[in-house]
Amino acid sequence: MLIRGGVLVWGAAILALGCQPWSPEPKEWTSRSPEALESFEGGVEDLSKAYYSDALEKFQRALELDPEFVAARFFLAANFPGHSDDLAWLTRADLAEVTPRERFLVRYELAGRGLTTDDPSDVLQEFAAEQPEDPFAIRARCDLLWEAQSWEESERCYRELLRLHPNWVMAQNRLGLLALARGRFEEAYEHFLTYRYIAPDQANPYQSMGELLTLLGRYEEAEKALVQALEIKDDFCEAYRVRVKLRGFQGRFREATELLEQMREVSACQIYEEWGFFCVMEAWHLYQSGDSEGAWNRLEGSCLERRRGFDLLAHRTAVMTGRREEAQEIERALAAYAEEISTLSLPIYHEFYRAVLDHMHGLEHLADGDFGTAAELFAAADGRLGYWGGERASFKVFNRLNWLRALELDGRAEEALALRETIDHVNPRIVDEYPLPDLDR
Amino acid sequence: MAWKLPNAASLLLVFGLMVLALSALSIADMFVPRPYDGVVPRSDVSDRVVVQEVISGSGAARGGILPGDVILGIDHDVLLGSRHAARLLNEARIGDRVLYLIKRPSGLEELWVRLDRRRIGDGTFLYSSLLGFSFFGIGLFVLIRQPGLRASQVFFLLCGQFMLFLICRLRPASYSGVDAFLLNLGTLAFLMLPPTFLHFYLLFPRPAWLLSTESSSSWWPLARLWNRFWPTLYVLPVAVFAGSFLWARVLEKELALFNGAPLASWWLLALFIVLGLLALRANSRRLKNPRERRGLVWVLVGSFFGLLPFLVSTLMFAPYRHSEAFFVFGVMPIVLVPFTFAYGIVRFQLLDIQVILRRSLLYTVTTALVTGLYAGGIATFNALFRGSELAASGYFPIFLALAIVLLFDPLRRRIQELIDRFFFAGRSRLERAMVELGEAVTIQVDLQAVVEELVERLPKILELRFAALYLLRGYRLERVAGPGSLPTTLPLLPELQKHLRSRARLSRIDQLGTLLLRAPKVAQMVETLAETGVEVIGDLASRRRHLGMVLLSGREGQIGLEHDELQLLQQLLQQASLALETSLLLDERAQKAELDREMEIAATIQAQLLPDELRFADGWGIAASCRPARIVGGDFYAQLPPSSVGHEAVIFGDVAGKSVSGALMMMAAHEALHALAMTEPDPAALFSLANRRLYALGKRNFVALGYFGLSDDGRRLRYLIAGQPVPVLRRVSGEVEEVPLSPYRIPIGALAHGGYRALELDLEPGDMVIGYSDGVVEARSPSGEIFGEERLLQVIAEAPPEPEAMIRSILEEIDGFSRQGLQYDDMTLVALVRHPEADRC
Repeated sequence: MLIRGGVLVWGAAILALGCQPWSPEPKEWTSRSPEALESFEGGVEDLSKAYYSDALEKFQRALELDPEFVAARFFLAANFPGHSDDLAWLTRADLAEVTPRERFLVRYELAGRGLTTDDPSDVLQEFAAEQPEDPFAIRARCDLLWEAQSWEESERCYRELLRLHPNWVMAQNRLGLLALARGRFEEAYEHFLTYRYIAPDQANPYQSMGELLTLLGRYEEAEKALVQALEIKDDFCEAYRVRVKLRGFQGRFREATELLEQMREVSACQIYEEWGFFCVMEAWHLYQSGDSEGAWNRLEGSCLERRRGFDLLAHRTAVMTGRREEAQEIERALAAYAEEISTLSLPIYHEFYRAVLDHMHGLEHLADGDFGTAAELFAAADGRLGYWGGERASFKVFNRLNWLRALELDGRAEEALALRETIDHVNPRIVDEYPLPDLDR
Repeated sequence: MAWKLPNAASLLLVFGLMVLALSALSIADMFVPRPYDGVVPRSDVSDRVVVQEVISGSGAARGGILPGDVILGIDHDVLLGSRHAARLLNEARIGDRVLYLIKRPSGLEELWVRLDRRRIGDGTFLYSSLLGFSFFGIGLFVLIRQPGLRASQVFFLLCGQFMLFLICRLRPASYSGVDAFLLNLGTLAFLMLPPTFLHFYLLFPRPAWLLSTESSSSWWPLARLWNRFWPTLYVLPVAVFAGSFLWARVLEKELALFNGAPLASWWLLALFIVLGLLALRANSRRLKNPRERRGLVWVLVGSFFGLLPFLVSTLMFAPYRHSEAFFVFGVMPIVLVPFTFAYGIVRFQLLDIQVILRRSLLYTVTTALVTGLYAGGIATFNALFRGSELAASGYFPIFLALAIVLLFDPLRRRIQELIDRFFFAGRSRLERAMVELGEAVTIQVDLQAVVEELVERLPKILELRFAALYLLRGYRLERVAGPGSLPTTLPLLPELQKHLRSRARLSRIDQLGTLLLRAPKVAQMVETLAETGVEVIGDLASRRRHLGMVLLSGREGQIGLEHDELQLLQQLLQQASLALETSLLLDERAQKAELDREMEIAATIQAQLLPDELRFADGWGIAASCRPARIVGGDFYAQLPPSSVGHEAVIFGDVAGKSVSGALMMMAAHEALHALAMTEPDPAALFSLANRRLYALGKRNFVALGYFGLSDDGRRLRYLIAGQPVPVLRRVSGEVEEVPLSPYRIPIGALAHGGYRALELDLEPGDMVIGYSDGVVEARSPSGEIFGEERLLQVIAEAPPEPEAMIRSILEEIDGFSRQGLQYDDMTLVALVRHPEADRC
């Protein structure tokens, strides 16, 4: 009896184990042509990796092979300009025979564009309730959360998306940014590295990593990543921007200036001229070289106008060179801009500009010798700031350097030491290597 | 219960085929050319790829991948799981350098890995495979030798699982579905090994007290509980394994795995082994037979030195798996397990495994030796005839090859015979003893001597507990020799005879297989026999007839007979069947001769009952004849005692049934009628009294009877016919007619009451009445034609008017008609004639 039972159990176990690895995968897309389906799936994969031109080519190929391929038309219409005819085709398409996912994508897109009376969020909710694990539904929800700056929810959402579709580079990138904003640098690095691993011939992940590594004081690695980004895309202005910043962090102003010249030659970067980037960077280099007067002169006038009338360095040099009225003018311009964007319901910007204002006020107290108040204001600014990418992350570090100086000048050595450790934890080189000549110790 | 074992053995063979096929698949899959990185992933995780082992020398090892790494991506694709990894590797080509994304506690890393051709594996796996197949082979060998033995069944299960573990679990697996399937199978086998070990230890060499019937009847409730629930030990490892994963999931913790299994599983394995060894030790204390103890020592040695190094090296030196050291110290000693266990089992059961191994080895050596001799011969021939015309001929190598082919086998056989004689004396002794027994049985003509040889000498030669012999008596088998515990008689079951005929007249009862399902009566009988310790059933039959059955027990202990021994027994049974048939024939002939003598005496006695001559009243002539179909018959005629002078009467009868029974009935009827007639002269009353007397005998035998007498005035024929054919009246004119009859003519003894009535008939002088029994008209010609009443009437019409002449004529005509062939029935004739001078009286 036992032997017989045992043998039967063995047979059942073998069957169960044998069936598991070969369970069929459910149908995801509807096409009559296997070749079209294969090309289309390659296009989706490319799209997820942000290889847009390859994706476009494959979607078009899929459509050639199967003109009735609903999903191929959808991806063309939704992701590439100049495909209004595909969009129009989708409005007439019979969606009875396609998969629920395809039906959802089309309905969601048409609703989003106002081509149907459906509410896009209703369409999304309806489909998500039906197929909560579908990566396309999750992605749509994540994007909505991201745009609404619901960071925690969007982070959870993107994690869920990556669990199902780990090669979606935008999710990797955004999760990297979210991790960076919260000071989880290793995690951010891993997301950027993963992004780079998935799409090694794209410049974006190198640039993101370069910026992160710059922030962390891993300048050599950052330089390498940025050079790679520029090798892949030689008109990648953001990579130039970070390289210039990196040179400034390293105190290599001559090289920074050379880089700025190179960047100026890139036609795609002309917009940076309009944003006042070049003049501001030149002013920073003058300031860091100890020429605050020269820096103010570089910023005053057209440069400051291009910066909407407010700029951190312009304010600083104004304060440090005794131009309080000009400094207050800058503060007013900033406050007015902050007021202007407050209607946009984007908390990240509100907090940032309020932090800048706190910083400016702190600097004024610092210049007046009221180190305690200055420290409080710098601390308040720090509390409002995260490590959001780009200049905002750099500003948090810069604010901390000022906060540290205020504590030192106020004689609060223990607090200063603790803050120093915090700064070192992020970037162990910046306190010693980043010059603040107007606050000479 | 015992006869259910063959089902288990058959199922085990199915299981064996299944695991053998899977193991072969595991090996064959290694030869499929596909890109391989050398990573052995954890088989229990499917949503990511966790490196369990890295095959030394593989691309992954060269690339720097380490056990414990999590492979996040392969070739710029982030993985969804091992199936995804398998797909990506399949898309790559052998020789490609592929970038891996690895997660370690220190962070993410990118490593280049060159994809190699998948290799059969390192030395460990090669050895594991050979070891696995050896396990299986040995297990199969033991099972086939001892299919009914529970220990050999469990041993086979153990070997099959060991093979799965060694070939599927220790293979350098990868990510494919086949890999996952085989790895999980190997893990399952690993989990089932400890309880199987324990089970084996509890059964070997004898079922431990806890598993014995003794314990089931114990007053100790725990023992009864154990007896009922101990099979759940098999479930425990799987439960612990699954429970560990479930527990980890509930606590949301990473489960610490050790070589693919949770630590709890390993501890359980160790616990089971320890428990098993303790059981083995406890079991050994109950053993009295030193040979059993020696067998047990072998198992102990194999367990200790075979399993312990593997467990220790696996548990304590896990990182060194797939290293040479692990192979030498951990895996190699496992070989001790199958060999020591098999040796223990087989040796203990009197099958000398050494003989088999040595014989195989010596056969190989002999063949190699002979081949070497011939190779040397060819070389010598070539050297001798080099340059000669003979060597240059194209036919030379052909003739040489033919000569070798012709001479090779005879030479090998000669050498082999010498070796066999020298090395395998024990087996030869057994064969010789069986041959001698066969000869001894064959020359016996006395049935009792044959029986004694089979039932007394055979158990001694084969060391059986008993043998029993049943001989066919009528429609059942009667025990003529054997222990009293066996049934006295057995039914004759045609299904069993047919089955045994198809199995060369001999079968182990645990190999009766589906017959037991098809024939419930056979199953019932076999179950009864198995309970008394019978293990082998042999059919005794010659070409002409079925003779009986031989029942054999197993050997002392719990051991069955070997295949070779069964073959020897088959030959012996053939010889015994011939001897038995001869002795039975002689016996029967002697009995027949005795019977013939008795029959002759009976015939003489019967003949003496018939009167030498019949008397009848003056003026009447009478004659009679009775010719029995066999030596003794059922027909008769008799002279009844006359009530007065001139009132003689005769009766003629035909008893239902022939030969001895008919004769006895005839005598009973004869005596009854004779005795009753002394007081009752009236034939109707006489017939009624005789009817009651014969009916009272209760055997429902009846007698057809005829009565010829005279009326009171002595002038008329008084007659009464009860069941006999209608008498024929031949008038003096030659006319022939049937006499009128009373309506009630039932033979006497047929019914409880009879309404017999005698009739009277006037006869003219010269008229003759002929009474006869049905055997007269039912006589047959050689072609089967019946003599019939028409012929009889014709003979009667044409026969002379004298009674003797009439009877003689009738009998001659019948003889002529039947050409003196076989007489089917007794024939009785009575002829009565009225002489012409009777009127004058």
